[in-house]
Amino acid sequence: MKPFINAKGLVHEYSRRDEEGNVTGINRALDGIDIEVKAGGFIAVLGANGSGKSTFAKHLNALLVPTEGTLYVDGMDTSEQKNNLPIRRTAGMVFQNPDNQIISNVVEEDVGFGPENMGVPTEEIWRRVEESLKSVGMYEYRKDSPNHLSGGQKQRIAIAGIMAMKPKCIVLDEPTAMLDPSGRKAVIKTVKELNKKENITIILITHYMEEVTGADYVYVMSEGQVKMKGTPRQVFARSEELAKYRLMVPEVTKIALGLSKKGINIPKDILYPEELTDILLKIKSGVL
Amino acid sequence: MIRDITIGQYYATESIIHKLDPRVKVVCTFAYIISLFCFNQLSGYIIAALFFWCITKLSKVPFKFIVRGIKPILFMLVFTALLNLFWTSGEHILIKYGVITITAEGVKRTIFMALRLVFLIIGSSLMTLATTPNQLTDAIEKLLRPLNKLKVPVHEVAMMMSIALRFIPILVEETDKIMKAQLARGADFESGNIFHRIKSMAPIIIPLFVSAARRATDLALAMDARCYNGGEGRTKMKPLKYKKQDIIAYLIMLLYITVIIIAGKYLPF
Amino acid sequence: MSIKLQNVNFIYGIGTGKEKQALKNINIEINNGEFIGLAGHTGSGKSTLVQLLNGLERATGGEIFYNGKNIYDKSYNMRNLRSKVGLVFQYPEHQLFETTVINDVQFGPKNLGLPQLEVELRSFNALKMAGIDDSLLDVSPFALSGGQKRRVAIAGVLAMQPEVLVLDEPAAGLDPAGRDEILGLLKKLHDENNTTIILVSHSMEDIAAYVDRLLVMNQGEIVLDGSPEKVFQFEKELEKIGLGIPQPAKVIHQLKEAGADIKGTPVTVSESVESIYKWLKET
Repeated sequence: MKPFINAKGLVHEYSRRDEEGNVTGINRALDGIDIEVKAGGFIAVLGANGSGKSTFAKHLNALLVPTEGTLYVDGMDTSEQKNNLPIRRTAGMVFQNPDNQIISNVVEEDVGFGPENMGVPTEEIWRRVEESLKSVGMYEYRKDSPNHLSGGQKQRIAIAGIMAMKPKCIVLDEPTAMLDPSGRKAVIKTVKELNKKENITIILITHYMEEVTGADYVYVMSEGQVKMKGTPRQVFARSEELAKYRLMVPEVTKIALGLSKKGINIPKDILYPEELTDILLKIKSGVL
Repeated sequence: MIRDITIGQYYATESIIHKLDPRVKVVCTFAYIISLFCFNQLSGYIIAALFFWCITKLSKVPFKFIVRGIKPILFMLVFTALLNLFWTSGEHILIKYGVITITAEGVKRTIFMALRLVFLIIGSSLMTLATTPNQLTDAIEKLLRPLNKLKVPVHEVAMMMSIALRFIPILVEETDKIMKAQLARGADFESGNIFHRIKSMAPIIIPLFVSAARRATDLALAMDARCYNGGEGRTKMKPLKYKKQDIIAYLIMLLYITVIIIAGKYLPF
Repeated sequence: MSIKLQNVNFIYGIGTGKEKQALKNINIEINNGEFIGLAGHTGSGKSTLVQLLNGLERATGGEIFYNGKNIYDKSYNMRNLRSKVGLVFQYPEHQLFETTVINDVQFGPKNLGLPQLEVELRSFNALKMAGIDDSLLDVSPFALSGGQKRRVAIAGVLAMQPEVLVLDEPAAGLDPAGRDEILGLLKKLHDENNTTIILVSHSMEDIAAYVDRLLVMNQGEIVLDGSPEKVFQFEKELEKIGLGIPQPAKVIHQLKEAGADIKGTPVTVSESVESIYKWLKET
C-alpha cells in the first residue's frame, strides 16, 4: 500500500533578510526529513521549541513548499500549487493558539467556515456542522460565542471546524500547549476517538511526552532532523538520548529507570502509572 | 474601565424583529433615519415616536438597553443643543442677559434637534441590539454587492468587519492585561503633562501592535488551511432569503414614510 | 515580613447585573522566604488572588496586610507595594516593548526612580541571574527565541529586586528543558536571595519538585493548604476539581492501596525511587 504521507529528503530553508530585503543568512529549519505515514495511523512528532516540528506541520498542509526534496500527501505533490486546495481538504490543520484560528462569533458558523469555502451546498453544511460538533462533544454550545468558552473547548471547536471539511487526516500543531490539564486531556481524548471511530489519520505535534503514549509511532525531531523513531515504548526507553534533544520522559518512566540503575530488574519502557504499580507488585511478590 | 466598551452589542431573545432578514433591518433603519428629516413640526415627532415605540415592543428588547446607546454621545448631544439654544436668532426673545439671547425659535429648534438626534441613535441601537454582528455583515455584503462591478471588494470588506468584531473583545482584554503587567513594573500612566503621558503609552501600544500582528499572521494561516480563497465559489451556511414577513415589514415601512410625509405637508402643528 | 489576607472577597462586575464572586473569604498568611505553589483549575480565582497581592486589583471586602501594614489605608504607598511584590504575568514575553534587551529590563528599575548607575547594575545582575548571555544585551528582544524572551521578561521584574515574586504559569508553552531552566532559576532565587516565591501553576509535577507549601483553590476558595506530601493525600478531591497529582505520588498511592508498606510520602521522582527501592529490598 502506498503511504498516505511520504516525505523524502524534505528540506526547508528560511532566509533572513536585513531592512532592505537583502538576504543576510539562511536558516535550515528542516534538514532532510524522511517520514512515511500509513492511512489511519496515529503518529506523534516530538520535538523541543525550535526543532523544526511546526515547520514540518505547515508542509503537510501545503502552507509551505519544500526547498529541496519531496512531500506527497495522499499521492499529491505539495510543491505544485494546483494541489493546494485538495491537500488542505485532505489534511486539515489545528494550530496552537485556540483564539487565533476561530473566525466567527458563533460556534456553528465557525465550524461552517471551511465547508463554505469549499462550496458545499447549504443543507449539507448544516448536516456536517451538526455531525462534527457532535463528534467532538460540543454540539450544545453551537449557538455560543467562542469568547465564552475555555481554551480546551475552543480547541475542540477548531477540530470540529476541520472535521466539517471531511478530511482524511488531521495535523495538530501543539494543540495543547496553551491549555490547562483538563483541557489537554479532553483534546487528546477527542483526537484519539476520531482516530479510532472515524479512522482519521492523526499527526500530533507536541513536546508533552504524556500525550504521545497512545500513538502508533513516534518521531523525535531536533535541529530539523528526525533523530529517533519507533513505538512510544522503544523511544521512551532511550531517555538519556531524549534529554539531549531537550525532551523528558514521563515521571513513571523516570522512576523505572532510577530503579533499574539501582540494580532492580525492571523494564525501562514503562508508560503509565498503573503499569508501573502492577510491575512493582509483581517484582515484590517474586512473580517477576 | 476599558472593559466597558461594547461594540455591536446584541440582545439575544426571540422576537419577530429578531427574525427579520437583516437586510430589512438595515434598509428600514436607514429609511427611518431619513424620515426624521422629512418634517419639522410636533406631529411628525409624535408619529415617529409612536412608530418607534411599536417596533421596540415587538422586538422585546428592554427599553433601558436602547437608551443606553445615548450615554456615550450625551456630551455631544448637550453641546449641540446648547449651540442651537444660544445661536439661533429669532423675533421672540425670551431671555436677554448680556451677550446671551434665548429666543422662542431657538428653544423650539433645540428641542427638535435633540429629539432628532436621540431618535437617530436609539433607532440604530435597536437595529444592532436585534441583529447579530454576523447577520449585519452578511446584510451589508449582500446590499452592497452591486458595488462589486465598480471593483469595490465588498466580500473582503464584510469579512474584515466580521473578523474585527470577533477580535475586538480579545484585544480589549489583552490591552487590559498588558496595562496591568506594565503597572506591575512600576509604570505610571496617570501623572505628567500630555507629552509625558503619550510617551508613557508606548509600553502598552507596542506590545499590543506586536500581538495584533501575530494574531493576524496566525489567523491568515488558519484561514488558508481551511481553504479560504476569497469570495468566489463560496457557499453560505446561512444564506439570506426574503420571506413573507420581510415583505410585510417593507410595506409597513413604506406606509410609515407616506404618513410622515403627508403629515409634514398637511398637518397644521 | 509577611503578607496576610483577612476575609478577602472579590466580586467582578458590581453594578452590571452580571456579578461574579471570584474570591470567597480568603484567609492566608504568606511568610517571608516561603516557596509557595498556588494550584487551581482555570477560573478558580488564582489569577485574581495574585493581582490583589500587589494592589493591581482591589478586594471588594476584607483586608490585606503587607509587613503588618494595611495596604488599603489611605496613606499606604501602593506604587511602593508594586515594587516590593513583583508580579510576572502569564506569557510575560508579550509585554516586551523596548528596542534592546537591556533597555527593556531597565524599564522597571527606572520607574522606581533609582539613579542610573543603580538601574544598570540591577539590570545586569537580573539578566545574569536569568541566564541571558552578555552578547544579547543590545539585541532586539523580539529577535530572541521563545525561552529567551520569557527569561528577559522575568529579568525585567527581577531587576526591581522584589521581596516577593509571584509568577503566573511561568513555564507555560515551554519545552521540558525550557521549563526546567525557568523553575531552576526560581529555586536559585529562593535559595540565594531568600526571595519569597509564589508559583501559580496547574501543573502539579512542576509544583511538587520545588515548593514547600501548596495552596489549592477551587471556585474562589482555598480548599487545601499544606506541604505537597500532605496535599497529595487528597487525590480524589484534587481530581474532582480538575487537578491531578504527580505520577510518582500516584504510583505510591496505588502501591499503598494494594497493601505495600512504603515508608513516608514521597512526591518527587528521586524520593520515590528511594522509597520504592527500600520497600523492594525489605523482606
